[in-house]
Amino acid sequence: MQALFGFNPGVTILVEFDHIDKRPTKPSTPGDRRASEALPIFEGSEAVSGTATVLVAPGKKVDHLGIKAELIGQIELYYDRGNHYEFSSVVRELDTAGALVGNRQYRFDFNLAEKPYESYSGLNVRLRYFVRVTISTRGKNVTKEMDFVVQNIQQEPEALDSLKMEVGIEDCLHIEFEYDKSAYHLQDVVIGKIYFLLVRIKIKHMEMAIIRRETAGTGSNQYNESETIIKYEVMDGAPAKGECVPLRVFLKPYALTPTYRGTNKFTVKYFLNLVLVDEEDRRYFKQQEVTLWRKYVA
Amino acid sequence: MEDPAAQQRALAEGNKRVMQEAFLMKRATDASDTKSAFTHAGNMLKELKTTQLSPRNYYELYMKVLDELRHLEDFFTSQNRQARQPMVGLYEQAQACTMVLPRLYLLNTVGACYILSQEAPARDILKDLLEMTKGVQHPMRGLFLRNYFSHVTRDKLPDAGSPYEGDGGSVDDSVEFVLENFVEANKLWVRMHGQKGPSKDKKRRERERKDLRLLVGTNLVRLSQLEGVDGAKYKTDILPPILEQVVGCKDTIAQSYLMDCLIQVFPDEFHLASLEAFLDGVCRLKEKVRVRPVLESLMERIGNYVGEHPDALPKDVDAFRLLNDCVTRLVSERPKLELSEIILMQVALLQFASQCYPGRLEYINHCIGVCGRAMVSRGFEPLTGGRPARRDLPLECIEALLRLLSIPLKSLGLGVLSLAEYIDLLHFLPWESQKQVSLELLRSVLSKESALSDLDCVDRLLGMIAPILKDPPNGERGDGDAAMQAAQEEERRLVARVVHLMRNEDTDCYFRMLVVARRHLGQGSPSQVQYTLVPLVFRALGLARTIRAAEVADEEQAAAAETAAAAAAAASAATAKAEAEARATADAAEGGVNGGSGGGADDDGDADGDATNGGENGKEGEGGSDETEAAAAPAEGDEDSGETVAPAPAPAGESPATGAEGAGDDEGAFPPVPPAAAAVARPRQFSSRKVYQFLHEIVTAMAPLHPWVSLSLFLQCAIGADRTGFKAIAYEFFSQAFILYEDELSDSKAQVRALVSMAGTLLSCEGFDPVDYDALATKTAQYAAKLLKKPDQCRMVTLCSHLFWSPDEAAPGRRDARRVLECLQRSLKIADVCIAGGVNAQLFIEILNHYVFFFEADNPEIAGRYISGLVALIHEHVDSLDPSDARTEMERYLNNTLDHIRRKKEQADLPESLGKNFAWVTI
Repeated sequence: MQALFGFNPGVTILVEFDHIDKRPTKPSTPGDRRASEALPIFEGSEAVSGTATVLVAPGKKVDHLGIKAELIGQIELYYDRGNHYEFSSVVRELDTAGALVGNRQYRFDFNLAEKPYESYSGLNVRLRYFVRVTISTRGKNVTKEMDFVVQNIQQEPEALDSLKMEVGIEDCLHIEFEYDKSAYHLQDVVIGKIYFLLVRIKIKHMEMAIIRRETAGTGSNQYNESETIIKYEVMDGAPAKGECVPLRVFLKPYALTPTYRGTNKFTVKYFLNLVLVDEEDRRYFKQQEVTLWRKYVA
Repeated sequence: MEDPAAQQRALAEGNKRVMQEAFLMKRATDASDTKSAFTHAGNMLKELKTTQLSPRNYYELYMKVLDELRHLEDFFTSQNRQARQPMVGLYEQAQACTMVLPRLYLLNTVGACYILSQEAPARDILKDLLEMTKGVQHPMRGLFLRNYFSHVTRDKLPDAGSPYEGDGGSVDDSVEFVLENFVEANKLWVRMHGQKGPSKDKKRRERERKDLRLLVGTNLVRLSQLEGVDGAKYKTDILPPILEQVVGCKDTIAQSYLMDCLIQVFPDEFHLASLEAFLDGVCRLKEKVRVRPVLESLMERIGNYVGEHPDALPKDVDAFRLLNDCVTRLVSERPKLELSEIILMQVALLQFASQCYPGRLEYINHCIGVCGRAMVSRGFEPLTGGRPARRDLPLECIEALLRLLSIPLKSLGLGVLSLAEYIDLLHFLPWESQKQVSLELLRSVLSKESALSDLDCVDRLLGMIAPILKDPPNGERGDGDAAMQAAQEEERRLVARVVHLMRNEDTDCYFRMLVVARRHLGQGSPSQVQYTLVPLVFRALGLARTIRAAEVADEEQAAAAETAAAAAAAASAATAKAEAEARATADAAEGGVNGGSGGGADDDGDADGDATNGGENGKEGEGGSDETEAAAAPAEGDEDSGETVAPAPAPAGESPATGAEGAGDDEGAFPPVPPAAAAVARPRQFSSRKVYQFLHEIVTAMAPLHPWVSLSLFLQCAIGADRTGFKAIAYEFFSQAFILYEDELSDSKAQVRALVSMAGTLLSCEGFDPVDYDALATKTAQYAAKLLKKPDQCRMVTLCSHLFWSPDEAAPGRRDARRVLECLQRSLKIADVCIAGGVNAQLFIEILNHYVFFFEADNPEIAGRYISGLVALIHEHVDSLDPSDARTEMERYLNNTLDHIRRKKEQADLPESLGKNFAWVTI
């Protein structure tokens, strides 16, 4: 596009991370236009290093005011385009002002760059990391951004109590459910039990849904979005009083992220939603927040 | 849901989709694409979520899916073995399926492979599968899923000797798992009962439930197949939880089915070991549950088992008491229990007792007593004293009672008479049923073939069979149709045979038995006594001989003490012989009397082979007893061979005796009674004279009602008295017979028969004084001459000629050649008058035979020329007849007779005098 408008006569930048083939990658999520290709994963504490190659078309000479590489972590709120909140930015000068002829390679290494948050791509907000290489010229600057994914292995949350709750509608339905923990890592298994203490409605089935609630923005610009990640049928048919139905859900197959609470720009919370459906398709449900955390990179 | 067409459509669609997905699944497995295989298998299993199908159709669909899952199983196993895919991964993958029913089928499928791989302890996997399976709470779908669990794990349970034992768990774990599956399955099954729907669907729901019962029962089968389970484990670990579930589920259908299932599935020794607990369970079943069939099949099984293995009954368990307590408790706790059910439970109990505790009479008495009290408590009364029932006993109760009463009969026979409650209970039954039991008792007594020698026993036995002897208290004992008559015939025969079983070495006691029997039999209906008293008469006759023989022996002993030993021996031999003879005679005559024509009397006088008479004899022989047939056989033989010579008129008693003796020997039923010499030790209370008095009284009593039978019996008594040397008594009997003849017999056929008997009897009596004999013989001849029909007159007069020519030459006053000739000539004259249909020619030939007989018997008055003349006369008559069957027959008869005469003429070794006589005869 730049070439079409003739701003940049023949300068191209290629950015490549080191050891890209040995890195875990996060597969592109189909349907997410912003993550259309597999991206390398870095842990928060890892150094991000690589090579920026500047390609100048043969026979051309490009004058520039300097070349720099930046590692940027920013939160983008979709309602507020162009106004990105950068929470992390590290700049490295790659070259001082001069002229470029032919191809030239520069190494960059952000060994101390701060990457406190995990990458996230939601409905109204995304948190992204990228390396940007900029060639400053008198005219339009030439830039190249290269995204990468950050995943932070977290400490296991302390005090992992089981979640236990008694809910019901008087003289109609009374259940007690129990999840073994209040926090699960992303490869974890949710194990639970549902006790039916009183059943006066004709239950057709029961399912457990995992819901992600994303809250972005503040004040009048706050956007809440809930998204059902998965519905998992737990019980078929109507139980008798006193029955106890087990629950076991493996989280691994689903696209989950850790819970986000760290920034003031957005939060992502997860809920386990237990739903009973009766024969008239009325739904009785109870949501319960659980914390998701990352134990392994991948 | 009810519409069968819609059902079929739904089933067909389901099947189609299953096939489609199964196809895709198999393509995925061929490509070793685990993920895709799971997906398509899941889609296939989704079809089982249907709510459209009835249990039967759902079952069909289930079976189809089951077939396909087998492929999947093989695939997982080969993935694990060949592609080294760890089972735990597959197990996790299976759980990714978001729908619970398909997921659990997949999980069970993988789980089974997991156990097979032994990558984890079988126990843990089974436990997890069972736990997860709770996710399906829909009754029918859950039942099928649990059945699938049971199906895929059936050969993978840790058990004694199985590869999964040890680290994989023990048989106790398996028991626990199968029990859990059972309990859960049963809960689901029971829950179907309370499902929604209008009450008019209740029937259909119950039917559908019953269709599914196998899914529950399979678990019990699985338990019984565990090798590591023994009686003790069954008692402590298996039965209690099962009973707890069965009792606790409070469901009628489930309780009935599962209790029966328990009985059928587990081995008998287990039941024996845990009887108490089981019975306690039975008592706690719902009131609507029919406990009787349950107990019945339990007792039947244990009973048969103990019957085959008598040592199997544990010493420390009183099975009868336990069962009885249970039954008692049930009866007392369930006031609504049907009376027939109560009785049937006692039937089962009694059957059980007789199999497991043979000979414990108190048990039998107890069962019978319980029934009696139950009857009373339900307001039924015994039918004593001929009162009609206030309330009819329901049919099923009658049948139950009949079964109850017949059990001790089979095992105990006469022993039932010592059961105090037995007869009491019998009286609750309607008349016809009482009769049925009585008959069965008789058959049982007869089948044992043991003698009746106890007075009391005879008394009770005959008292019990009153329904056979007497007419029903209300309504008539109609003669009814042929079948009924045959039945009555059978009844009489049974009674007669039982009477013949009475025997006792002690003549006094024997006599008392007869008196008792006479009392009972005499109380019978008038129509019956003619059949029932006859055998009694013959028994008494036999007894009279025995006593007489002993008396003679005693007298001899007293006369010569030094020869006592020899005398006793002789007496004993005589007794034995007399006894056997008497017995045989009795048998034959009994049949004869019943059949209507004295078999013995028939073939002595009528030796001419009278076709009509012979035919009659044969025909009636068929209707009569076997003995009659045996006696009739010689008569028929005579006729067939065409042997025309009149045989020597054998003594009436002896001829049938020899015939029937053979039959008696064949039966082998009567060993000779030991000599009566033993009785010497005690003074004899009843003399033989007393017995004859008794006989006289019996026969006289029935005479007015049954003249013909009584007449025959008087004659039999006469023979008996004559043989034992009481000629005066014999004369008395004869005169009674004659009086009967005069007063009561008006039918000419009966008169002829009576005359034949009288003549035969008279001839065989040897003890009469000449005067007495003459009086009787003359009287008989007079009767003969006064018969109404000429041919009868003719034949009887001919017959009477024999009275004047005793076969014993030395007999005083028994041979009067002149009177013989007179008789014959008189009969010729009578024959000459009978001209209708050539009957005179027939009579002439008969008379000719008698002439030839007397001629051979050396009667001086019978001259050869009479014979020649008679032959010529006969020829003349026969020739004048038109050709017909009758003529052909007559000619053959004549020719046979003539052949005989010719042979005699040619016979070289004839006595000289006779030879000379025959030379005079020309034919």
